Amino acid sequence: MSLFKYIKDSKRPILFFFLTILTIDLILITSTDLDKSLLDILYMNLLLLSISVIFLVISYIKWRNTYKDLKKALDFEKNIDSVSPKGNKLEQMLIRDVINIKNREKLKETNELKDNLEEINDYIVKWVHEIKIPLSVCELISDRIEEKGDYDLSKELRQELERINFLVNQVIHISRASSYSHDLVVEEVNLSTLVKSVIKNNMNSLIAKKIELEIGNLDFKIFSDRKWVYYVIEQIINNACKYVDVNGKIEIKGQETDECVVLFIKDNGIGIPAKDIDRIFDRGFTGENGRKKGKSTGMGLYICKKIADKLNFNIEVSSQVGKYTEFKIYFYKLSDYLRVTKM
Amino acid sequence: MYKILIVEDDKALCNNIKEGISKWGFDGIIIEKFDDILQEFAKHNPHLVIMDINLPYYDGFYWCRKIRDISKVPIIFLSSRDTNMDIVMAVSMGGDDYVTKPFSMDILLAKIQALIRRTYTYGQEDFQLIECDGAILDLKDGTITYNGEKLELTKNEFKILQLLMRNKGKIVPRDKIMRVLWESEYFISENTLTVNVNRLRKKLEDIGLKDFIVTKKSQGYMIP
Repeated sequence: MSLFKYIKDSKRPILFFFLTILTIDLILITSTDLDKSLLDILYMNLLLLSISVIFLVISYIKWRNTYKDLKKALDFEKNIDSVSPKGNKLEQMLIRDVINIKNREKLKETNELKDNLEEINDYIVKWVHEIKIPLSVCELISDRIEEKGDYDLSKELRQELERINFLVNQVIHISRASSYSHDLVVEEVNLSTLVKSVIKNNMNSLIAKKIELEIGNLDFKIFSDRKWVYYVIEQIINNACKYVDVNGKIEIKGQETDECVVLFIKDNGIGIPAKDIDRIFDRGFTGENGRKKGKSTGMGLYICKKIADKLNFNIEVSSQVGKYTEFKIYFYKLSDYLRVTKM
Repeated sequence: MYKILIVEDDKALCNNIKEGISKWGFDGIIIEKFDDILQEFAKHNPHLVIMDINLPYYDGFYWCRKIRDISKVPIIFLSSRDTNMDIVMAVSMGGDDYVTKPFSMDILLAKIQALIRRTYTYGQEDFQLIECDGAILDLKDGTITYNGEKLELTKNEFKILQLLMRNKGKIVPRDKIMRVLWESEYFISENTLTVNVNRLRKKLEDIGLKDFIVTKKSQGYMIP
């Protein structure tokens, strides 16, 4: 936006000005019937030049004021809608029209994409509900197999069913997490009830692995979205179950401080290598453990982190290979909860 | 025999529920036509209704309200929908309980029994007692009586004994006992279960019930 740039842009009028002066000078000099001195011609030139310079500076300032906001917004990649140049010059009108047309185009495109995504999400929700019917039937069939005396078979079937169910629930949560309509309901949730329902819904794998559960005091109230917190706890407990040995141990306890309620979930499993620990919340990251066990999608913890950011709670992890992995979830109290509106 | 109306449009699920509850002495009635469930309800006059939400013609909420207009029969909703909204709707339409799919028969049965007991047999002595070889388990206060001797049971012991006595003559796998205990939020380990059963045996011996519970190696326990 410098003066130099303006002069460069208006070189044609400037050139025109100098040519005009030159022509007038030449005519004045070559005309024989005029016996004016050279000094007068020079004086006239100087006068004309200073008038032009004043005009140039004024129009430069006007030019600068018109486009300075737009340029700034463009340089810093800010929203340009409110700073489009005013005025009725053709360029200014064109710029405004371009912005409007592009905006409309993008809006249409975004709406189409939104609709498509919404459609897919609707379908996923329906599909999840549909798949749960045959799942229920299989669950009842496993009861019948047990009834007939084949305990191992029914046990195995039940475990697999629980796994299918876990994965199906993950699908619906991932689709909800990426959907535009975030169905968040923030309410008072009893941590103990929530954790216990997670354990109950995953008990087949926990029992099959003979995992010892040590549950400390969990009688705390948190303010958050029940379904999402449930999902996060389920992911972590499910991971713990996956990565401990048979006869492993999972400790779950809570603690309350002035600002937050902390939920601790600690297992004595294989642990997470130091080089992987910073990346476990990355999308699609499976790490050494995931590859070893071969059942990891790399989505579970990624969604957890995404939800944690959205609902303003915090997940921390610490681990030592071969010893333990501990997840800490910090649920901030109501006074801090107002920060959630920022999202 | 208690009649239970199963309002669910998935045939396989209906048949399995019907079979599951029939073992516990409930008579399941399956609905064929879904355009007028109220009429079917009036025809069979069941003691309890199991109601799906997603149904052809009208949804389960609608039928629940219709039934509520004419009857106070207990209604259990059975659905794969699990949002808070659905559960709130179900209760405000007059549902008594809500079970989400997939579910295990144990849970559904426990809820059916609880509702039947509360609605029809409250105070009736025989429904509160289970008898096995002269030993009487009292479901109200969690005690067992044998030859006039009364024994207090802990909650775990009571749950285990109740399960074994209800399945008299059948092997109850350890796995199943664990699941029932976990369902009631006693998250005990296998070792604790062994300890619990042994302590229970010893207690039973004290009142003269020797070899009441038999161990079936690597399968489970049973009352012969």
